[in-house]
Amino acid sequence: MGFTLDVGVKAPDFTLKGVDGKMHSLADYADRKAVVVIVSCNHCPTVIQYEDRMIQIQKDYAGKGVQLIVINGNETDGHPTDDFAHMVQRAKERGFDFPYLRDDTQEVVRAYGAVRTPEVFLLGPDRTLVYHGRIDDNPDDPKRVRRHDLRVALDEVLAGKPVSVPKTPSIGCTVKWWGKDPHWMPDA
Amino acid sequence: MLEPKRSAPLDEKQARERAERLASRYVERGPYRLNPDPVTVEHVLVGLARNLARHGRPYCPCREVKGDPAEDRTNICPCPQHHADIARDGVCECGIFVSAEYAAAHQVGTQTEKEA
Repeated sequence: MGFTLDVGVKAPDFTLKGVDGKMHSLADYADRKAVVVIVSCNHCPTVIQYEDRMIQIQKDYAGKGVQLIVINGNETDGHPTDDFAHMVQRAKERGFDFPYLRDDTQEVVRAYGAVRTPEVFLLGPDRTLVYHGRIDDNPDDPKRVRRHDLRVALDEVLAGKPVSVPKTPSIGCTVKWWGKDPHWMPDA
Repeated sequence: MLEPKRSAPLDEKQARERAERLASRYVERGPYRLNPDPVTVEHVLVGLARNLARHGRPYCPCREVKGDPAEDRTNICPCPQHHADIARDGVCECGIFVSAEYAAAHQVGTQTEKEA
């Protein structure tokens, strides 16, 4: 097994504090047909480009039994705008309609093996990983997206079908790890 | 140390052309390749062009432009760290330049689907 969780493997549970002040666990969403864990942050320009799309995906799929959970584990010495207070502020400003959780120890981000932000881990009904990678194929212009990778995977999961493209390259800034050079990346 | 002369402001088209030229010339003349994932390459080129148009320099799009010329200079693409990044990880932090080995192992549409 590599650094990153493999497709077909059961995703680890977690309990993390959200910007709403409450603790959130993966198990809290056991009644959902699918859970989308997105490893994200505040500072990354690619994440910022995707925030509206993340909000819209939650809106469009909430009624279909899908829950987005967004987790920020970046270290905050070199990236102070990724700290909890800034997360609370960002969620309020942008109107996040999903839990935005802080993983200060980076245990969860490490357990999932995220390398970049945003990085999607779509968990199926039994909480095995069924899709890993990007949200879509055009971070810079939502109008020019040719393949909505996450939405396609969600539609397939909800239809009870296998995900046709279960893995795509994630796009964005690297996860910033405590005690590592800002450029450090695991061998994924 | 004297600050190198900044380029004149570029319009969007000029900035895009310069970003493409920078990347293609760099891989032609050096040991690295462009990332085989076209989405990643396009995203970084868009960011480089945006920084060229805004700041007159191809600052790495994954990093914040601080406004301090000495600090920002270390974030001009190809950045000083990219050799170490590629030696360690096979890919630079922004993801545009990769080693030949990484490129061979990450051909989009083959390796990614086989892995899954």
